[in-house]
Amino acid sequence: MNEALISIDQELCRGCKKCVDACPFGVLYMDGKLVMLKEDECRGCNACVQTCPFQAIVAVTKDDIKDESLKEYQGVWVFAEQHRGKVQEVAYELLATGRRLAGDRNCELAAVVLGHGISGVAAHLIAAGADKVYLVDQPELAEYDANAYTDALHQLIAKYKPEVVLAGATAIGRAFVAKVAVRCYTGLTADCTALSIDRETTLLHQTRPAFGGNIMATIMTPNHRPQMATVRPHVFKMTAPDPNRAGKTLLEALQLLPPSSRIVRSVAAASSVNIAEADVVVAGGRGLKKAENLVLLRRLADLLGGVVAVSRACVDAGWISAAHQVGQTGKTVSPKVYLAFGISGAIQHLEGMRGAETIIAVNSDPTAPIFDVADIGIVGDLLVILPLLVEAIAGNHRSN
Amino acid sequence: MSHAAENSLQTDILCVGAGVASLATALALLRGLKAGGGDKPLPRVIILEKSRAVGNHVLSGAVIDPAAFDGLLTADEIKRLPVEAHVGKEAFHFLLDDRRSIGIPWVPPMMQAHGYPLGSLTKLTRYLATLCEQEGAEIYCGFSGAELLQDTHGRVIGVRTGDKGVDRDGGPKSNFTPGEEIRARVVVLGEGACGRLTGKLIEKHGLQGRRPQSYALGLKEVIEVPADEARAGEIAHTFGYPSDLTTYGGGFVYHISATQVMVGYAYGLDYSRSEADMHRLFRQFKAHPAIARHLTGGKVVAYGAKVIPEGGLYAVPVLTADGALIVGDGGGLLDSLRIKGIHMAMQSGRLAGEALAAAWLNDDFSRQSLQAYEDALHRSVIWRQLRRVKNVRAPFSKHMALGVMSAGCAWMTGGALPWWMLPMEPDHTALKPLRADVMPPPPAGISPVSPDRLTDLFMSGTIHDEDQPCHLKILDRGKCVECIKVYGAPCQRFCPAEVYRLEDGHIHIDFSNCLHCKTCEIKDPYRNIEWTLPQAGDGPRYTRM
Repeated sequence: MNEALISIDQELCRGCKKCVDACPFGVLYMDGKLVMLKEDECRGCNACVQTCPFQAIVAVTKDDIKDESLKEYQGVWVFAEQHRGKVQEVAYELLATGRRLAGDRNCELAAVVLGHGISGVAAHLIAAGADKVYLVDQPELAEYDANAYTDALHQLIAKYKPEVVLAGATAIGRAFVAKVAVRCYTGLTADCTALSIDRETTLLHQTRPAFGGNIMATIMTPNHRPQMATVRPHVFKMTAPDPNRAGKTLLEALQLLPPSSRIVRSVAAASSVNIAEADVVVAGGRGLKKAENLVLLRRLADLLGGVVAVSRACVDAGWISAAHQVGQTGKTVSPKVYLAFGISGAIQHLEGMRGAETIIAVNSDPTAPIFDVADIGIVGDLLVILPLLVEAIAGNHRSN
Repeated sequence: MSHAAENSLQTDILCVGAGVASLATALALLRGLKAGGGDKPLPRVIILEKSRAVGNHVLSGAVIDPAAFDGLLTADEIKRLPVEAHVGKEAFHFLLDDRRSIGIPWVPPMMQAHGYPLGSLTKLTRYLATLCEQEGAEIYCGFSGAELLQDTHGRVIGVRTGDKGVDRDGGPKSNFTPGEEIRARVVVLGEGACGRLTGKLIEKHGLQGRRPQSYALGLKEVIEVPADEARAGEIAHTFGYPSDLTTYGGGFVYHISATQVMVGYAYGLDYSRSEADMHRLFRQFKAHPAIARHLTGGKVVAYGAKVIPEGGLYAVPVLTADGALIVGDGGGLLDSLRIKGIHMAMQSGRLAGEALAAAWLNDDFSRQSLQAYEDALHRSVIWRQLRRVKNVRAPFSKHMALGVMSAGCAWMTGGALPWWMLPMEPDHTALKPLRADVMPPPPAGISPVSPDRLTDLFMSGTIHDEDQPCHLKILDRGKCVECIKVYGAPCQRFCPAEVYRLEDGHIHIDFSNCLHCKTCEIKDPYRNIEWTLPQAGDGPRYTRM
């Protein structure tokens, strides 16, 4: 790491400082009339090489620093993210691609799983193409923790020296794989859409779109190992599992850093509501006046077996999550019945619910545009009408 | 900055904003170098555009002064311009009140536009973009210029694009993509009126003109009307009602084809009446019999708004810096009498392109080298036009009669009289406290040809990802309290997009409605609102503006 990536010929240097300005990392500085390099911090971007008018700076080509130690790194690894013993699909997708890369490099394909109580996953990973599965099954890894995960993967990489490490660009993958790359002092290409092995250099070609797909950038990691990349889910295809494949499972015991945080309680996300598919949508708008009144909507929605939706005003006010929002910038719904309470019916909202079979609107303003699309319109205060409606329907349920 | 530097992309010429000014620059540069036939390879030209597709954020009338195309397009290309009609019948009205008007029997010579192409600026911009791409320029839509990169000597060395996928609290979302640095030999700022990077460059390098830029807000609709072949090419300009006598306001109606009418109204942002409501003024204008007769049976199909830099010659900043130059509306290059800027934007682009071609061949993008652009501009026809009308705009803020006199005087003397700079206040200082007794009555009936503001807004197609930080920053909420008391929260009324709403004594911001016109930043009496960049790709989706 400490070898210089550029060399400065002090004889040719005239002290013009152009390279100092050009260096994006600030590792060049002037010592009197001569330019000096903080060698440890140079990234070898070569910006100075192009800027120097006197050809006093030359890039050290990779042949010059070809590090024998890089050859120690062998094998393709896939980080197989699991949640409660279930491996994420993207891991299988990566194993399919990893299989091809390992074939091209004539090396092993391994999967790495971190977690607790996960012995069951190894067989699936082997069936999906892994030759080896490194399993770290420890209580510290029971729930995702950035410190523990980073430490675990880094220790494994340091011990086994894989040539390539791939991970899914999931929330977890994004969060900790970058940290691992920094610890390994190597590069990471995020969100690749193609991976291949270059025949001549045997380097991993990591291709990803840049500038909205206007450019396809192919990135290589010639001087550092492992070569690391993440891939978004569903970019690669998985192959059919082969239950007859043989592979080894290695259980690793690691001494891990204490986790950075402690999980007190896990709660399923409340916003898993899918208002787009509900048959009955009970919606409220600014007319609700305050967050507490959403309870009234909930009660009615429960009675009717429907879901609660809102116009943008309620989401903006922070009363409820955006998953409940109907309209131009929210979801489009087409339920059998759409009840709109205190929604004026601006076109931005109507666009999201016009497809409802029956629209029932309650609004205190008789000129509100919602009445133009409503099948049944009630002019009145929703805070009066809604409780009456709830009472009537609840009564009806009871008598049935 | 190190993480971003690793992502840096190198180019030779980087244009910010794919409007007609940038596109003309790229076209003139690449064509000029090809025709020059030198040995040097062509430069790489990248054009960044913050909207999702080229032309989505441009808006104009537009009756185009054909001088725009001089030296840029071939006769064949001019023939293929996406215009459906040329100006035929012209009219000019002075609107006295909500019913009466005086048709000026002859169109003043400076307003005459007979035979000029008439069409959508969006379409023209898209056409120019295809020509640029044929010449090898790369256009990246959905990327905004968030920050100018400068070296330690202040020389512009590139642009950092905006981050994407940031949630409302500023944290990264699962699709987070950090902005990337694009390094360039020279950055061409063609951001349009009130551009953000342009403003930063002007401020940082002290490039201000002799007085601050003055703006007008223009609102525009495309209205589909029952077909009438005879009317295609008919245009009318108005001044007077619903502006008061101290506000520079005027409107237009253009029949750009048998079925489409462009109707627009511009209002000087140095207006003083706090109660002025832009969208309502626009509706009042459309309801005037002289205008309504053009719109009978029509239906609004598109809506938009933008600010127009009207300050004229005295507000034009220095247009060059080391490694950067400014073209078009961003440089205030607009004829403030005719309210015409397309030809100036394109011609400034052409001159900039020619200067850049020379700079490329000499391998020198320093201020001294780019100065050739400004020198050429000062010798050009558009500079002569700017000089001629340099004092037309200012007297209009005193009284319309003074303005009309000054316009006539300037026209006859070629701008020689008055020779000194007539004074003009910055827009935000002009507002007077709100008098409750003058609040106009609520607007009359809604109809397909006169929709309310939110419905109009829908036609602009504007949309923003709502899970991102609000791009309209109120700098000091305390000032809002005072503003509500004194001016009655004018932001609710000057915003053409219903972004600002006063509710329970608190200003609520629906940033997702924003049309990127920047009126709020210009007109807020306390200069308390900062318009920052929303996620690139968001904003209006003009397709026929």
